[in-house]
Amino acid sequence: MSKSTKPVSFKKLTLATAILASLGLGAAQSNAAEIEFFGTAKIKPTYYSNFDFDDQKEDGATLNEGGLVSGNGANTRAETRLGWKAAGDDWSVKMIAEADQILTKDNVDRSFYTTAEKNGLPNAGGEFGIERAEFLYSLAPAVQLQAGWDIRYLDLQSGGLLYGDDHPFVGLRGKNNDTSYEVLYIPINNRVNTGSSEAGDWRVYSAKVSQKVAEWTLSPILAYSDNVDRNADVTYFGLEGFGKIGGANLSFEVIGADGTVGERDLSSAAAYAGIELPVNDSFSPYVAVRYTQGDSDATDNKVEGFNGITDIGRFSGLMGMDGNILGENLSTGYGATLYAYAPERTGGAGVQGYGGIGNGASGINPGSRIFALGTKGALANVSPNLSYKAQLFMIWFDETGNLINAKNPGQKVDDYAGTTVDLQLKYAFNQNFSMDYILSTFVPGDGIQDQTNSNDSAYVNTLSMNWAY
Amino acid sequence: MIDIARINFRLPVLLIWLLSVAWLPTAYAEWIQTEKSLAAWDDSKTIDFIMTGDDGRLALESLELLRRLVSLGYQITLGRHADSPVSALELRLTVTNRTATLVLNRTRDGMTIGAEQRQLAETTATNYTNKTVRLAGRPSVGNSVPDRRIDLNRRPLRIVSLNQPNPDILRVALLGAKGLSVYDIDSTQVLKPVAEFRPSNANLEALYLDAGDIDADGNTEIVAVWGENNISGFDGIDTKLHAWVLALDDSGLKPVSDDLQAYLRINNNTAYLQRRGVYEAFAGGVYQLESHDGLFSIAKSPAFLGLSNIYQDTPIDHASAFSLDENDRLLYRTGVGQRQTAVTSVPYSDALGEITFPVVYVKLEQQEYPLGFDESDRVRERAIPLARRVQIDGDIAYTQVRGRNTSLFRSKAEGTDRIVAVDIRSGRMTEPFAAVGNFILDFTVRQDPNNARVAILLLNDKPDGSGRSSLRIQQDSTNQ
Repeated sequence: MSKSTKPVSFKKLTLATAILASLGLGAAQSNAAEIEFFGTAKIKPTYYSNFDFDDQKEDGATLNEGGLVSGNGANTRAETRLGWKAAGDDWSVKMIAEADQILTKDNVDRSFYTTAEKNGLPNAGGEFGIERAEFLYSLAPAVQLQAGWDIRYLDLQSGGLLYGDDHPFVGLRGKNNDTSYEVLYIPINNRVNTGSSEAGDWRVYSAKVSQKVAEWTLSPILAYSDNVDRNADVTYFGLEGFGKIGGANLSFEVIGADGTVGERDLSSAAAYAGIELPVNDSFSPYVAVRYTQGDSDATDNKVEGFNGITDIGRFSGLMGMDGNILGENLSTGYGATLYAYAPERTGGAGVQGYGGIGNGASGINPGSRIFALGTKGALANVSPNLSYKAQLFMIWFDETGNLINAKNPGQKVDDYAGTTVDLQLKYAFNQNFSMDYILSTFVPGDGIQDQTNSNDSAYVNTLSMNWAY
Repeated sequence: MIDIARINFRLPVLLIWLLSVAWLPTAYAEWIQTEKSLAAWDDSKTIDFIMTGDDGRLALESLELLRRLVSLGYQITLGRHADSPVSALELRLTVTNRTATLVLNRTRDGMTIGAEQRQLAETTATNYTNKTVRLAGRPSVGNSVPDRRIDLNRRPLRIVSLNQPNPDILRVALLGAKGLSVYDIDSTQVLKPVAEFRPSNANLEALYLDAGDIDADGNTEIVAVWGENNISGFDGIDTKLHAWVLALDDSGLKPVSDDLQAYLRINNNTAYLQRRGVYEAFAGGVYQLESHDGLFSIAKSPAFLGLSNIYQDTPIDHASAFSLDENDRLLYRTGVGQRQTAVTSVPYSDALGEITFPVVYVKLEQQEYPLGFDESDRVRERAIPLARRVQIDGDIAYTQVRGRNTSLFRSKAEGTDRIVAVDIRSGRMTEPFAAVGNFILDFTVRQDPNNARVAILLLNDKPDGSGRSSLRIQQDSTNQ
């Protein structure tokens, strides 16, 4: 007797019933669609400190999901969503309206007033838009047509090196016993070319087949990135796997990238592997390594820095933490953008680039090697519904040939980028309301100190209040 | 059960007339829309009931309507007279030529706010050899012992009756998140605590409770099952089962088994056990729990082949069972001991209504992202509701019908829940106890010292047990 998840969160009723009820005509029997309404509200008072790793300098703006904020100061982000889903026997339509904003008086109850303008945009405020939409129809038992703009990913269960985002898509997917597949056409950019050489289209075509073998799921991945905007043709190919060996949870992926960027040949790679060994409810340690290849020489005819389509490390399996400092936009020093764990923008946004969030990654980036240690579990001895997650990343640049040493000009930049420490505490009051707190710091290593000529640590403090219904 | 005190002085006259014609065979269906309207009516619950027509079925149709009106809390005035107090509603039933018409009017403005019509057909009780469970005719009104209602301070989810310490006292066990409690209920309708057992685990939710003499020592054992849910975990909620066999004696309520970490159930004084899977709520077979010198062990082979869920499947004997399917229909099955494909069954034509609590949470093999990537947006588990109780007592199986529900745009619940009885020999389904305007979370039926059936209902304002909780003790209205 399988039921939907979160039984207290979703209300269901038939479409006909809803209409009749709204007209005061009472309940009625109908074979019409079943509708769910749901929503979330998250309020996140946040303090960023020293995103430039330098106490003496005024931090520039950085970008989080709510918009532009200072890299050194407080902000309160509000992400509010209202979703609904209608479904019949072989079809469904889901839409989620969202307002995601940094709260000020101008973008809440004063969204609309005469001559209002912020950041060059009229009436930039808390208007809801359709953040996500998913339209499905089952053409055959193992063939489901899908379209919309919703969460889709290629390697989220492992390292998140290649793709996870809510870009528009059209595709097919299906499942037959232990085999499932998904093919997608993802028109990320489809701009009207106005004559600017920087404007253009970016289309991605992907295919992934997942085969369950005993307690393992193995997934060959193939994606072709037709990046007109960057004059790049890239084929990604790889393998993702996750499963169990004894009591341990393992996951891995290897991704290769091959093609051309302008007149240059592209050949690059990335990999991830992790193992988690749950000991008890309170202690579940893990070890993971994450690698993205760097470019050794920006002046040669080769592009070697790895760019995913969207590096989604922030939300990936073992190493992900929604709100840790490495997943924020660290544009100075390390060069990782929002969501990404790899320093994909170091070297200049779009320089010999072929992807990344906003199509802004650099093909001459230094790459990274991350060694991660962490643990998570319940703190039932302290409080019944309290949990924690703690992790430490040691980060090295893969290649430093393209980096500039500001501290000791002319010398090679050290390859140790730094250490991050994340601590997350979560308390669930019930299944509809929880709070969590993240304290996360990035202690710059010599590799960043050489580039910034400073050695101050960066911090994130975020308190999240989360409602779901 | 009709509360006589709530019907005015004209009732005796009506009853005499009704009983004089009550032998007429009639099929009774529910007035679904009208009942919903009456349940949702939040103004004064006073009603004029008017009967017209020349069909002999008018009597029983009227009687059934009266019974339902009382169960919904209405004070009824029969007919309309100049000296009648002004009622808020008027309900007019007309039965002519096998056609019954029901019209509901609002008194203050005379507006018709509901109307239904249906044909009355002759009833033919279905032969049980067809394996079809059919609703039999509704019972006639028997002795009119009023229901007893007891408000509870706690919010238990499960109830079971135990042996009565003396004929004037009912003894029940209630299972809640904090523990298992045994109470005596006397004529003062006050719960007297008898014994209590509290597990040491945190974050528990009550799942299942049963009682029976499973070791044939003449004393009743209790099996209690809780689920431990960590709702703050980063990997989703994954219910851990905790279950004990307990015995009640003069020194209190004590576990006589280890924590078996499994589902437990007692049926016909036989205890059964089933375990969870990593990604399944129920895994493997259902095994008998055997007793040897006061110690319990798990049988090596499954207890009944072909049936796979300890709560959905209820053995009647070695060759037949009741089963509940995914659409909340009651099935009668034979061929136990044979492969599933050999089972013959025909579903009860009407679903019994969806039971949504209590639930077991099962971790998903791959988490889902219906809302977003954020940790709090992911779906990492499924909630699997446990099947409704089916209690077999001699030749009768009891279960509950969920007719009460809440909808999105109505803040109040509407409809009624009820207990139904299935005669195992004939397949006839009857409703020996009055429907109630609350959610029945659980129930237990027993014989009182006079051999009359008594149902003890565990009620709540909300289907998940989070609202006001109460017990309702109902007498059999059919005198069976």
